[in-house]
Amino acid sequence: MKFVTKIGLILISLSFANLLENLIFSTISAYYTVNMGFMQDSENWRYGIYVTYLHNRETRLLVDLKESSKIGIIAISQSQIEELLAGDEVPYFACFNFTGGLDKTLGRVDRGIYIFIFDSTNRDQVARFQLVQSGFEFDTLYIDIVLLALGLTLALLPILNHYFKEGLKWTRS
Amino acid sequence: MPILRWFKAYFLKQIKNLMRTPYFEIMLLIFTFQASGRPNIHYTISFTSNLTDSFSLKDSVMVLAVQTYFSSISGKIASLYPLIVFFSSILSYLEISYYRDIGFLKTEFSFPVKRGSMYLAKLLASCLTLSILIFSSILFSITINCFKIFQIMDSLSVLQGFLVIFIETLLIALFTSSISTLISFMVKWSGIPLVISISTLYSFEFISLSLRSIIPLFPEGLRIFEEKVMLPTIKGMRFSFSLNSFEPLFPSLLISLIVFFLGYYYVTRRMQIS
Repeated sequence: MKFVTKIGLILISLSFANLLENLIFSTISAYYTVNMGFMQDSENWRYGIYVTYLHNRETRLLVDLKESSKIGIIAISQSQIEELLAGDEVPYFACFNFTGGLDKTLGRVDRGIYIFIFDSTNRDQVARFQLVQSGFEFDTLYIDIVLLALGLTLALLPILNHYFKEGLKWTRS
Repeated sequence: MPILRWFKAYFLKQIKNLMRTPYFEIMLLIFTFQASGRPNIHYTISFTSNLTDSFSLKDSVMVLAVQTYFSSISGKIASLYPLIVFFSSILSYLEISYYRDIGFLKTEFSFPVKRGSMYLAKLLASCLTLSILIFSSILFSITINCFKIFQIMDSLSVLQGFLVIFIETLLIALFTSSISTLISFMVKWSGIPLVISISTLYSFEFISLSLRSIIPLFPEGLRIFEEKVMLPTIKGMRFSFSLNSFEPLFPSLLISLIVFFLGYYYVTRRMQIS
């Protein structure tokens, strides 16, 4: 029984530390800034592919263009990447067409790898874009809470067991 | 066989003592909090004329997955070094200096256990407790933060990454524990061994940095080891567990062994408890 209690206390420590880290650093926003030039040597490239790892947080996409011309962006999540690699269709969860600049809130995105595909026919174009992530990471928060609850149950098992036995005795008498 | 039985009983007693609630849990909490830092932001950019050309996409995704996993492993233990130093010194203090202060070390030396076995049990207990603390906290934080990356990478690479962490954990725990145990046995004044072991071990941070190109010592040696053993490539993470890649670990391992034998000699032949 002591071993089970110890495991419970270890689970509480691990999840509580991660929970604390999550809560403290939730106030900090992460900025992903990049300049993407489409003028690439002599090849006839059209699509600029930007791949990054995003956390489960509120995400905002901002794009600033060097000069006004038609640009298209599609955002593909990790689950859609495999579909894209397997077939000919291009699945996406967000698509924007614009000529000046862009400021869109993508909302809360799932944790994972994301692809942003920039489509431009203007080879002199430079897209300076920024992804801003802020808020709690709910996926790890849920895992931490579940582990915390599991740890508490394991840690309190001897006490619960005692009360269960007392209850049984009381019902029999 | 009674010697082995006594040693086992004494070793388990030491482990129980160091892992007692709530000290072990508090140490684990601090380690996990420190290890739970988010991996650095990475990105890859590529260009293509045709979106159905999956090779460029696949490569970009794999490069990013490898970069993120590599950054979550590399430098992790080296960044925890100040904490490792602090808790290693505390563990050694608790099982040696504190016992001497309250007069229990003299009683322990009257047990039917050889002095050498006693020294070995104390060192191993401190080393094992520290290893469990470091390894479990790092494993937990990597698993929580990089779970989605594991789905893209092959499981062998993930396991090999954990193996690198495991090797580093064992060696850094042996290194710090052997030095702090020797200091705790040698310095007899109350409280002083704690200060001396923290300052001695912490000075290695600066020594290793300045001697990086001459002799790889811990904690800088761990970074060099990681650079040699893990090679991020387009196809995935490549690990090379050759003798050459383990070379940066040897100087610190040698120091650990010298300190261990020095401590063994001192405790079995020279040590006197008044």
